[in-house]
Amino acid sequence: MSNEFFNGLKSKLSHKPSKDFDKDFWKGFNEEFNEKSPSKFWTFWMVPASVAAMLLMGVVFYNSSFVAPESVKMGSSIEDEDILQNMELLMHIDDEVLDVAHEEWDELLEEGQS
Amino acid sequence: MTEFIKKRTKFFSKPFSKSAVEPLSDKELMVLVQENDQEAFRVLFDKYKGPIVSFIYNMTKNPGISEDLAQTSFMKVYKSRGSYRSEYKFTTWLWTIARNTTYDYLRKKKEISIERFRSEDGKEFEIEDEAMGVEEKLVLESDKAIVMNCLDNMKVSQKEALNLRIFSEQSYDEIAETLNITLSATKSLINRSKMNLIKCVKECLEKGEVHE
Repeated sequence: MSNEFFNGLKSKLSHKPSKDFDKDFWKGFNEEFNEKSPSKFWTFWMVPASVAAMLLMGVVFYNSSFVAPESVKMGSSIEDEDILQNMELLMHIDDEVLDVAHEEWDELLEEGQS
Repeated sequence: MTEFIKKRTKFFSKPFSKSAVEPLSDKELMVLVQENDQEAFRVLFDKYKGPIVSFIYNMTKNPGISEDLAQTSFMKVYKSRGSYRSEYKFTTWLWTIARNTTYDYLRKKKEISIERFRSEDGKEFEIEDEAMGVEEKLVLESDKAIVMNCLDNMKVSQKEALNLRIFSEQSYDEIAETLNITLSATKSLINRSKMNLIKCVKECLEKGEVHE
């Protein structure tokens, strides 16, 4: 029968896949269709730890935004005080000794600061 | 349908047992595959990987390429599982995908022309009932390399039709559907391929040609 002929050809011409055929296919298949789920370690430890770290950083940043102006304020008040003192000295010099020689300025300044 | 539900219930009672899904038909398995059942897909893969690789190998003559194209075909089957309609035979759909994948490759390699299956003239051949003659036996008893060389020298359309007849285990109707040509043209094509194969093998044997 003709079926016999075609079956004979099938036996003669069949080409068996290599032994790695299945392994290669399922590897590609899993990469394409089965995304790896996150590990338990990642889910139960790393994610909460990361969130906690982010929150902590947020809190630190929030607090620092209030602390910083305070120190700046403190620093600037000290600087302001110095400027005011210098201003008083300059006004004193301006009022009382207008015609001083350049050499005398140092002496006057030293006097004022002491 | 009731039978399918029974089989399916049996399947879900052992969801990871391959043997539990094996009694299902290809169509039933595809219904499960459409529900993302990868175990059902594995059964179909195991059943058809051999014939598909053989078919592609006889079209490309390259073991590595034939395996790559077979894998690509099965990936396409799973990817496009949603487009499968159960009113069509699974094998027709599968072989159409495998055939198109092979043709895409051959076309890129410029090994085939576009002509393909313009309907073959000729009457129907009732070749199923023919007795296997001396010439057919001669082909089967001759060296594999001679047969493969003769197949390789055929027109692509004839070679493909003959390969489908040999490996797909489809009926002529189904092959006609896969090739998208009439039943009469399919029978004519396969018969012509067979005659050409016999003629070529005979000539090679008469010339005493030895092929690698």
